[in-house]
Amino acid sequence: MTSITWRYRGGVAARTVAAIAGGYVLTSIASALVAIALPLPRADAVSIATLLSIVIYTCIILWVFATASALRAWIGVAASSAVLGAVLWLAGRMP
Amino acid sequence: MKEGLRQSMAWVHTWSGLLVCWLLLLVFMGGTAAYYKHEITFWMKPELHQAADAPSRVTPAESATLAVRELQQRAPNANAWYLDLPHERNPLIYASWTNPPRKGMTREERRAAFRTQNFTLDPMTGEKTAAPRDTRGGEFLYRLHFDLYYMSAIWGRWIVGVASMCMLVAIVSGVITHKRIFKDFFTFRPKKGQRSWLDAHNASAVLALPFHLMITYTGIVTLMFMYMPAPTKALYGAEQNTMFSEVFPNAERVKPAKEFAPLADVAPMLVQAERAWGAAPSRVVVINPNDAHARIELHRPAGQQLSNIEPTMTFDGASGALLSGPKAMSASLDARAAIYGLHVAHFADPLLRALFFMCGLAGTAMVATGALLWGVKERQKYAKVLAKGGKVGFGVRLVDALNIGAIAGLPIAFAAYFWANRLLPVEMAARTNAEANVFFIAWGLAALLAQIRPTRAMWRVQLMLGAVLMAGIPVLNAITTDTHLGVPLFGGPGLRPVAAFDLVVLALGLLLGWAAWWLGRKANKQAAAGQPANRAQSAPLEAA
Amino acid sequence: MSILILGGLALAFSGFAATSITMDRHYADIHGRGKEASRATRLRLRTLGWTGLALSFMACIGASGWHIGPVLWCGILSLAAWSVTLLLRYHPRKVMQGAWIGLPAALLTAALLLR
Repeated sequence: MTSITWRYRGGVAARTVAAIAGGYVLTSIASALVAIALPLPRADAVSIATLLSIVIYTCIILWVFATASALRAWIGVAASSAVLGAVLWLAGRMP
Repeated sequence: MKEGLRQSMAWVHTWSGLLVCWLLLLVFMGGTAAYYKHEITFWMKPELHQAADAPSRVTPAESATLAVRELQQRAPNANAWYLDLPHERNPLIYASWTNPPRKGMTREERRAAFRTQNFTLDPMTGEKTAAPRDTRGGEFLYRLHFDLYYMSAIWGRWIVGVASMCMLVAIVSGVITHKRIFKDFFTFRPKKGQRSWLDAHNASAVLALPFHLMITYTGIVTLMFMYMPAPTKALYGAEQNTMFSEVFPNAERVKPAKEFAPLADVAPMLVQAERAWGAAPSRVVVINPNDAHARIELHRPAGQQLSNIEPTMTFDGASGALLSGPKAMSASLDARAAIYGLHVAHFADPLLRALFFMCGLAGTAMVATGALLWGVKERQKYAKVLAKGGKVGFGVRLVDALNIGAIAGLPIAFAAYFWANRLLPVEMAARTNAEANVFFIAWGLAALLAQIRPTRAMWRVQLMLGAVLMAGIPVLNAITTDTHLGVPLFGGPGLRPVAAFDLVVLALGLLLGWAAWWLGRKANKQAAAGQPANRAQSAPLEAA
Repeated sequence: MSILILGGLALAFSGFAATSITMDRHYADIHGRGKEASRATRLRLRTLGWTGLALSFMACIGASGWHIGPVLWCGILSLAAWSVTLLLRYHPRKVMQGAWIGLPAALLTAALLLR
């Protein structure tokens, strides 16, 4: 059992922020991409993408706490957000 | 590493569950009660009971005609009429209407006005029933479980949304961390302390897991466009209203033409719908009555499909002609509606509704046993300290107090709400606010007392109080109204909801009483065994 | 339709009862400490158990259709599972006896579904 050191507390806090805030940002980007990518009418795409977003968010939160370190969690969330965010931005600029 | 995964998921399960469990108890209790909100509202309006007692042999067409005649007198210029026709869950005709909002009306004023814009008709006589007392009935409990109270609905929905997301995370992490989910499937070992609480938590959680997963996910889905606007922004930009009109294609209202046209007779429309559906329409909505652009929407009763959007037949209000049917929805839109529909369970017949109610109670038990289990586990760390006459830590004391306030205090609040309905003067002003205030005052007092003295004695006192208040409701009902428990046995089926309500609260009261007795018995056993029984920091829930 | 649902409930109870007996802990609850079911018994009971659950599903579909039926089935399963759990704790022998209800329930359900 890890002792309750400040390092431990810091790790928990870092993961919590990564999961809740970082996870929400990543989920928003990912589900927006799903909505754009789905070859369906707008209403269908937005419904499915939003339905899926809840599942995506849950998985991200669980991964953030399951992964080996808080650093990995942050890198994972930040890097995915950056990559997917770039794709989203590019997709927005396409005709 | 598998071992690492179980451990991390156990941690996530504990904290995502514990931090919101007391709010979730409110949400679960309110939501579970909401499955019977019509019956609860009916119980809380005893003035309507006499009219409902006589069996109704009036056809839906006749009921609708009666209501329309009354509406033409009272609200000929409304922008919409809503008629709930008699059916098995409500034997009376209920009609309401909305007026176009006057300039400068605040939302509060509009809501207050809307609460006066309705009437109830006895289908047998065609006359208005005795005016029921001003109460929100079961609707208060329903709204409470997602809007909360004393705050704007948006705030309430965000708070409940966050709690629901925590709950979803707790459920999934709980399944991942549960090592022996199959081996322990049927295991229940009472009288073994912590093990027993874990068994109870597992039994209430795992054995209704499909329901718990479904109700949590679908609950978030009901407000998902508010919680996760990103896909909408991506596809619709700032035009959120366009998204709503496309995802909910049959919610659009045609605008009034502002020229008068007498409303066509609704009776033949109902006959036609009944023939087409094989079942009588449950609801009639008249849009722009007495206008050239009037529409009459007949709704099919729920029960054939999961979607909460009832199929409709729409007629032109001026000519009476059947218009083309509702726009067909794609599979995706249907799926969204079905997922939403699973949460509100309009389709549930009495048996299925009882199963939903039972699973809701199991969900309440799941949250409660989880919180209690945490307290029992943490308290063990203080065993040595306690044995030397010391005190438990701040966390354990706080959780103990919150547990009492929520698990024992909430039933007191619910019961107080029903007591207030019978005892508050019928003519008092702002009566609905008063009933709600009683709910929260009762809960607040229970929670406050629990914080002052989070002991086993407090558990027993509050559980006993809840038991007496709940079980006393049928007695209160008999004293204050004419529809005591014996009446539905000899009267018509219309009063069965009243009897059912009385019996259910009686059963809940007996359950609470049994819990209080069980705690007392354990205290006596501990005292007999020479252990300290009622010290200020005594363990409320260790096994004998 | 209610008879079909009752049949479904009985089948679910029977199915869970049969599968629960194959577990070491519950077999011991019934037959005495340390006893274990033989491999043949375990196979037979598990097959019967899962068959009971599958028939229970069919009964619910028959009663309420393909949309509402599965929802009803989940509720029936919970009710049956709680019943078996409580019975295993307080009257374990009755679990074995109660499991037999699956046979008449299966016949009744088949008759109603094939009508």
